[in-house]
Amino acid sequence: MATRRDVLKVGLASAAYSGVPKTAQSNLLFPDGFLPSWIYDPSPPATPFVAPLFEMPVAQPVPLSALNPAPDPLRHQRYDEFPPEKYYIQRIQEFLWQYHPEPPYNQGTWSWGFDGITPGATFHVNYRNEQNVGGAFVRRINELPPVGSQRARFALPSVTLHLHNGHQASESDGIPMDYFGPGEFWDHHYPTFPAGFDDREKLTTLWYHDHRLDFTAPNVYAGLSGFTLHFDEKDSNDETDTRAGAFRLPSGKYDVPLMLHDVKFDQNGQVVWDFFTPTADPTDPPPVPNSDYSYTVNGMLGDRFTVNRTIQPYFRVEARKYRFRIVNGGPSRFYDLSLRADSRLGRRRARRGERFYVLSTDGNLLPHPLIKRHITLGVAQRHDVIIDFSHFRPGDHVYLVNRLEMREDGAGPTGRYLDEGDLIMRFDVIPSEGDPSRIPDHMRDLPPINFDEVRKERLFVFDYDNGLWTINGKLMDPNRVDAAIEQGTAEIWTWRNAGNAWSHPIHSHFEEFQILERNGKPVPPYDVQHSRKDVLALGPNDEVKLFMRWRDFLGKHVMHCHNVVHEDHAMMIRWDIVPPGQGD
Amino acid sequence: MIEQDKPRLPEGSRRIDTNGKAELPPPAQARGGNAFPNIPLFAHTGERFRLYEDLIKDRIVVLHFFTIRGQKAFPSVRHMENIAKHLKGRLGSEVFIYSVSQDIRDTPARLKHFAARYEVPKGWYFLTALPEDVEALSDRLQRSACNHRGSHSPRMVHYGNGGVGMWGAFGVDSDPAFAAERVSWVATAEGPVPAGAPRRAGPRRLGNDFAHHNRET
Ligand SMILES: [Cu+2]
Repeated sequence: MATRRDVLKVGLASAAYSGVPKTAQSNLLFPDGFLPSWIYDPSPPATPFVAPLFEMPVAQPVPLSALNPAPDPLRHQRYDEFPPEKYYIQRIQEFLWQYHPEPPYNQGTWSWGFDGITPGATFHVNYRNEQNVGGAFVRRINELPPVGSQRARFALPSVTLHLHNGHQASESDGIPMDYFGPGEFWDHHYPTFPAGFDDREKLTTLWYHDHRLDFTAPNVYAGLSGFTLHFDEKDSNDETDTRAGAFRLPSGKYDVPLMLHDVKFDQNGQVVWDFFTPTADPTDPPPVPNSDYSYTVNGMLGDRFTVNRTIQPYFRVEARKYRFRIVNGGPSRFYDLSLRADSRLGRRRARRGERFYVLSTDGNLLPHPLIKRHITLGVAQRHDVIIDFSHFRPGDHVYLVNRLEMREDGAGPTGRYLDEGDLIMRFDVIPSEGDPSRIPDHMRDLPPINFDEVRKERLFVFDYDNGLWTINGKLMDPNRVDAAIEQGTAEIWTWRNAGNAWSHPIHSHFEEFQILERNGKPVPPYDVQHSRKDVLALGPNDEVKLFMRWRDFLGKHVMHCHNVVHEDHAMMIRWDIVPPGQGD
Repeated sequence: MIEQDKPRLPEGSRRIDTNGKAELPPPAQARGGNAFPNIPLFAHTGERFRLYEDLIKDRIVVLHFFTIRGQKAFPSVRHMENIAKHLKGRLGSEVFIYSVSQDIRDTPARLKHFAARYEVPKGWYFLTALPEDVEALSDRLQRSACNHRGSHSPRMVHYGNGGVGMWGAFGVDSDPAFAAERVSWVATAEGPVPAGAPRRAGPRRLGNDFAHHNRET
């Protein structure tokens, strides 16, 4: 781990620091008294744990001949070097989705998703092997109704699909300006090799979601998210794998992706977006005349907790190990998750099972599993965990609990931990049919941090300007290159939150970074943040130094706040990877 | 618009004589966060409007708050003038720009005088209203935009489709051509999606590439 001194030793010029406002704008003009809809008009009740968890199917490839026109190698960087192993077609559609079986939810909620489901099907993509077999090609077709005909009226039926933390070129990344409308399609080439061909850079749990400029928050909220999982010969998707070095993590039906979204519904069971949601029933009077309706730029909170777009589901689990891939899908909520069991064995023994074996951070397998009683997830952050239900008996109930309290306006956590908290879902323990899976002692080492590669140091200050969220005082402009990074180099980036009351989960595309120091201190080795990362929860007044690298492709990407309401209110920069010698 | 007669505004008055305060939102815009106060507004043209009925319903709207006095510190109206140039052709029929003053001293007469300094095409209105009505509107949109005492004009522009209920935002100092492009995103589609095979939006063929996207051009 780098020490503070290592960082200072780099001693780079601080030209990038100019232009940064000297005084934080954070204490000025922040709106107060904002009343979000979940407070003045709560969602209709829904009995918890009566809806079964939705388990997304695995996406099924199509033959190459099904793609008409065929993939065009001239549209993708290094296509011929990285031919896809599998081809897919995914259709983006609007449909009625049942979040819960009770009225009013049972009549369905107008939602957006993929081939009739939300979250979309889970892609299983193999890392390229020695025979160069691996990777995927996904053609996404926008079949949404055009503007004016969409039932999810707050969302924009022009989309771009980003594969979050995928190591893919700009044109397949799903950047905010690469949108396609109803009747159009976009081709995504996922080469699926580790950054720099370094196995230590391999990614494991990724998710795809809309990234439309100005409209990411409503579009993801309407339902545009899903999982992509990467496998290789070690993380081989086979818990009975006898090959040397195979991790034998729980696989098949014991490997379950969990996507968390908090959603607000109206009395008809339709999704409410706290901006301007037209009613389904024009005769319906407003719930609170002249109340503090407001256009929130702070965040959007829902009062119904959904997992895989099911309100507080139950999930039957055998009394054995499971791998869960937990993604906080946003839009704005942070979670602190723990387990709480109702066990016939009594509290003391149940306590042994109430823990996570944390396998990954932000989709990246850690050097070693870490045992944690609780995990924190900012928006877009991910952990793969193993829960070992063999500590419980059939008939026991185990709850996934969120204890982190949010500010009412969604701008970040209050910092308080609730005693009871929110019950996100329930695991119902049934007898096991045996458990060949293992928890490996060792997974993926961290790639080394080599300061000799560092070409530049940059400072990014995240702040607030009268309703808009800024980075170094600027708003997102896709025409402006905010950082021209030379391919093959590393940089040290400092992210500073000038706000003292809110948090920003900051995400940079394309490659993972490592934290050099947070508020002047390195991350301790047994912290889950001592890892490769792609989203960093920047708390009030936090300042974090990162080591970042850019390899393998050229082109345009972005770094932004993943509280997608902040992102849509311009908290984003464009950075480009440019040929050596052409950097800024 | 509901009335064509000129508002009666005593010179120097802080209060505009209207039939009352911000009204309840019309039924078509009821539930949840969609309500707009249907406040009366007075334009630099002498016209009088109701916010929701006349200015938002069934229109593409570009709306920001400003003060005349604040233009020295931040020339938001000059920026908006550039955006308006790029919206020409659509302005006044499909798209409307509303510059709403937050300074009670910016009477319609003053706004008229002020507007003469700019190239103001058809479809761009400088508006004022009762202080509590302006506050109700700025609360409804971006609460923090008020409380400036005229010294500063906000940067935020709301753009949206009032008929559909889709709204986004950008900075008034954004690239004006691009701002106009954003406004076109929320326009109601003119017909159904053409039948037949889907059209490729991208990525385009690689090449020397200075665009800000990878779409087909
Ligand atoms: Cu943020």
